[in-house]
This record gives sequence, C-alpha cells and structure tokens, in this order.
Amino acid sequence: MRGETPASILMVDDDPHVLRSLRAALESHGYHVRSATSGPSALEACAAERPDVVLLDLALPGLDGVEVCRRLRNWSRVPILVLSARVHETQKVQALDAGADDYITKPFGTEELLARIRAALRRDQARRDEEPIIHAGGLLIDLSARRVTVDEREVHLTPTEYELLRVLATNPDRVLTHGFLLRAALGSGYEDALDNLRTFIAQLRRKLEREPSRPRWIMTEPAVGYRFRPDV
Amino acid sequence: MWKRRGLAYLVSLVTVAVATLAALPAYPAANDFPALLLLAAVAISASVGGYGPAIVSTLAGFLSLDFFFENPPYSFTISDVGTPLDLIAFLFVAVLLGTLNARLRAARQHASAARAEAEAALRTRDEALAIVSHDLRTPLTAIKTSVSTLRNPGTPLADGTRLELLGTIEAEADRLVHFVSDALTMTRLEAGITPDRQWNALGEIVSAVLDRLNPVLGDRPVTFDVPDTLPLARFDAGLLEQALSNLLENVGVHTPPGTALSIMGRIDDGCVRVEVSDAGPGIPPALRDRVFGKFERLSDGGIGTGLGLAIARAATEAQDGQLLVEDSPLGGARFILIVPNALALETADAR
Repeated sequence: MRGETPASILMVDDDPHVLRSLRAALESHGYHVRSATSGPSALEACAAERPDVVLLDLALPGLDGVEVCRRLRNWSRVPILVLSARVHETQKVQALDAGADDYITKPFGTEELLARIRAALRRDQARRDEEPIIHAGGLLIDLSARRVTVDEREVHLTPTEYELLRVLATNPDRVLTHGFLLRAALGSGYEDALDNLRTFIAQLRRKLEREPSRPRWIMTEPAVGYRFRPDV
Repeated sequence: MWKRRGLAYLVSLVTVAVATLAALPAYPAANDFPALLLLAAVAISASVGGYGPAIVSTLAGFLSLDFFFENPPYSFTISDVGTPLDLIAFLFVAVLLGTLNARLRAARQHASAARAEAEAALRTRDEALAIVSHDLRTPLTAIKTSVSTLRNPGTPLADGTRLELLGTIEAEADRLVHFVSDALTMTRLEAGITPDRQWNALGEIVSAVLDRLNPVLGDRPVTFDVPDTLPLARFDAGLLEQALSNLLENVGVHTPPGTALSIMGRIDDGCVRVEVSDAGPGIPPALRDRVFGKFERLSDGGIGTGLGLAIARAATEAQDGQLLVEDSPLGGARFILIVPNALALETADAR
C-alpha cells in the first residue's frame, strides 16, 4: 500500500492546538493525517483506518496511552511513536515495554519528528522485506547463515551474544529496554539480570567495535536500554 | 549584654532590700510575713534574671531573714530548725523559677533564629521569583511582539524581516523550553526522589552523555578516559546522566570554542569518580561554593538558565554523592563527581 500513495499517520492527542499544528506540519510534508482525541477512539481509528504510523500522547482521557499501546499490540504491528510531556525514564521504559517503538519528549522540533517518522517507516518496511543480510558501516550480519563480519573479518559470537546482536540489529534506531533485551536473549525469568546484560553487551562491543568504550553500533540509552545505530 | 546581667543582679539585691524594709514595720506582729515577702523577692529575681540573680537574692534574703527577723534580732545566728528550712524553700523557688526563665529565654532565642531563617528564605524566594519572572517574561515578550508584527504589520514586511521575526520566535521558544525544563528538573530533585540503583557500566553512561552533548561541545577536542575494564558499579544511571549532562553543558556555555576538555572515570575505593576538566577561564576559589547556587550567573550570563550546576549538584546529592570544583590541570575548572557505595550489594535505600 505504501510507495506511490503517501503514508498515513494517526495522531492521538487531547489538545486541539497540538493537533492543529501537527496536522499542518505533517500535511505540508505530504502525509495523510487523521486524528483521535481519546484512548478508545484511537483504538477504533486504528482498526478502521489502518494507519502506517501512530503518534501517541501518553496523557489521554478514557484510556492511558501506555494501555493504548498494549491493546494495539494485541493485533497490530503499526509503528507507535510516543509524544509525551512526561520526561522520567520510568515512563519511557513503561511505554517502550508496552510496545511503543520510539519516544519523543514534548516540545520537539518538526525536523526531529519527521526524522523519527521516516525512521519508523523504514524499520517497518525492512521488517516486511525480511532481508536476510543487515549492513551497517563495516558490520555485516547474515541472518540466514548466522554469520557476522566486521570489515570482512569474521567475528565469532556465542549464541547469547548473537541473539542480542540480532534483536538489536533487526530493530535499527529503536530503543530496546533492558527487560526486552534480557527476555529476548536469555528468555523470560531473567528480566532483572541487569549485570548479566551489561556483561554480554561489553563482550559484544569488544568483539565488534574498534573502540569498545566509544561504541559506534551498540549505543547506550542510560537507565532505559540499548539502541542499534545502522548508519555509522 | 553584660550591662543587662549586671542590672539583673542589682534588681535582685534591691528587691530583697525593699522586701526587708516593707516587712520590718509588720514584724514581729505578723510572724511569717517577712519570710513570705523575701520569698516573693527571690521569685522576682529568678523570673527577671535567671539562676545567678536568683541565687544572689536567695542568699541576701536568707541573711536578711536571719539578721532582722530571727531571734535574737540583729545577729547572724541559727537558732532553730525553721531557718535552714527557709533556706531550702528559698533555694527551691530560686532553682524552679530560674529553670523556667532559662527555658523561656532559650525558646525566645530559638524563635528569633527561626524568624531570621524564614526571612532569609523569603528573601531568597523573592529573588528567585524576580529572576524567574524576568526569564519567563523576556522571551514571551519577544515572541508576542514578533507574532503581532507578523499578523498585523504597519507596512508590508520585507522577506528578510519576516524570516528574522520567525527566527526570533523559534529561538525564544527554545529558550523558554530550556528554562522551564530546568526549573521542573530542579523542582523534582528538590522534592526528593529515591535513587534507582542498578548495576551499570560507568564507561557506557559517560560515553552516551558525550555523544548526546556533541552538538553543545562542538569542535572542542575531548579526551575520553574511562577504561573499558572497570568493574560494574551500582548507581542511578539517570541521575548520573543528568549531572554529567549539566556539567558538560556548562563547559559548552562557559569555555571558548575549540578549547580542550577531558573526562575521566574510575571506580575507586568503592566509589564512582568522574572528573570533567576544561581549559576555560576557571572558577576563582571565592566563588566555588556560589557556582552551585540556584539562579547564580557569575559570568556575563544571558545564555544559561542559572540552574545548570545547581541541578548537577542536586542530582549527585540525590544519590548521596558529592560534587566539587577545583583548578583543572588544563587551566580551567575541574569538576569532581563522587558517588559512594557503588560496589555494595545492599545500600541504605535497598533495605
């Protein structure tokens, strides 16, 4: 459905001024824009209109934004960008753990918002395309052969290290929380083993990065998680 | 003060003398009258002057009682058991009232100290309010004026002017955002927060902060010295990130572009230790405490919110840490951030 037709965006916010200015910004960049002003109406609109991206405020009447994320994730993989005036890491982690793809703190510049929307659309497209090989600078991950090379030199990873890298690299530019990564790499029951995660990440960086203490690919989001940077 | 103390002793002697003179005509008809009057004199001295004058009037009163009103009169002899009992009663009243008097005085001093403190706090609040109101109103004024001009220009605006006004609106809105978010952060830290201590790799936090503040630091050459081999440490990464961000932002604002910056991290003696050294103008010893104050703008000012270093210190202290400043080997200022107990499994907060 994407390609020729402009991507459609559902904005969910209960403030009419925010909606109006966002609509102007997004429409002027060619997006097709719909809006909803409450949690329940956002869920309905998602089901009826199948947007390509959802911009979601967390403080909503009727149903909290985090809950909207959770319910939406029951049946949809649409990229969700949380736009929130809440700034504390805990809320960020909550939203990301509930299934949000990205988090932008209000107020933000239009340029930044557009960049995040483009990144979310790219990620979604990459997921649909299911390319077996991920390129990021000198890093190459062959998902079909489970093979990793840095500058054409093969790198040997343990199964856990490989799994961590795979999860990170298949979600480029997306912040993955500590809990999410631990579940993905070690299985459920290890969500609190933060020291283990730090150790695995350190090992992975030592094997991949030229300067492990100043990483280029596996970026730290303090108190939240890690993010894979594809465009080194 | 000494004058007042002396006066209190004088008063105690005078009251005893007056009581003695007043009792003489009635004696010996009213036998108990002198003792009661003298007791009253002791009470007055104790309430006015406290212990010292009370003891003086007790002794004077007892002597007067013995000399004038006990048999044989006009001599100091202890003739019966009543006299020592009088002395005990006098002393008892003196001590009791003296204690009450001392307490009252302490309470009064306490109250006046509290009042002085409250007044100082009010003054600080008023100053803060004046700064806040200035910092909010100035950008709002610029925004409002620019918008009005764009909407209703007297004469049609040149394209250059329009762009300039739009630029002003964006820059001033950014300034407001910065100020409001700093003020909110400060408020949140002052309200008291419980640190969330987790196992962290110090190097990755410092590295992430440096990456994020890259636009602020511009072309300053940065020496990054946090060994990859440091052990994991337990601290609140969010609070450390906050403190370091503010320290680096401060470097960005107060040191000339292109000057060197070094950031060092260690786990030392169970403590996290991060040092940020710059090659800027430095901070003279006399101002080193004030730089951490709220709304302190010690240099030309204008750019910062005056809250940056106050936030850095509050965020550090929120996890029982310390933030200090001294001379930097690079010639400017060196900020030293220490978070204790970073290797302990259980900390006071984890109980």
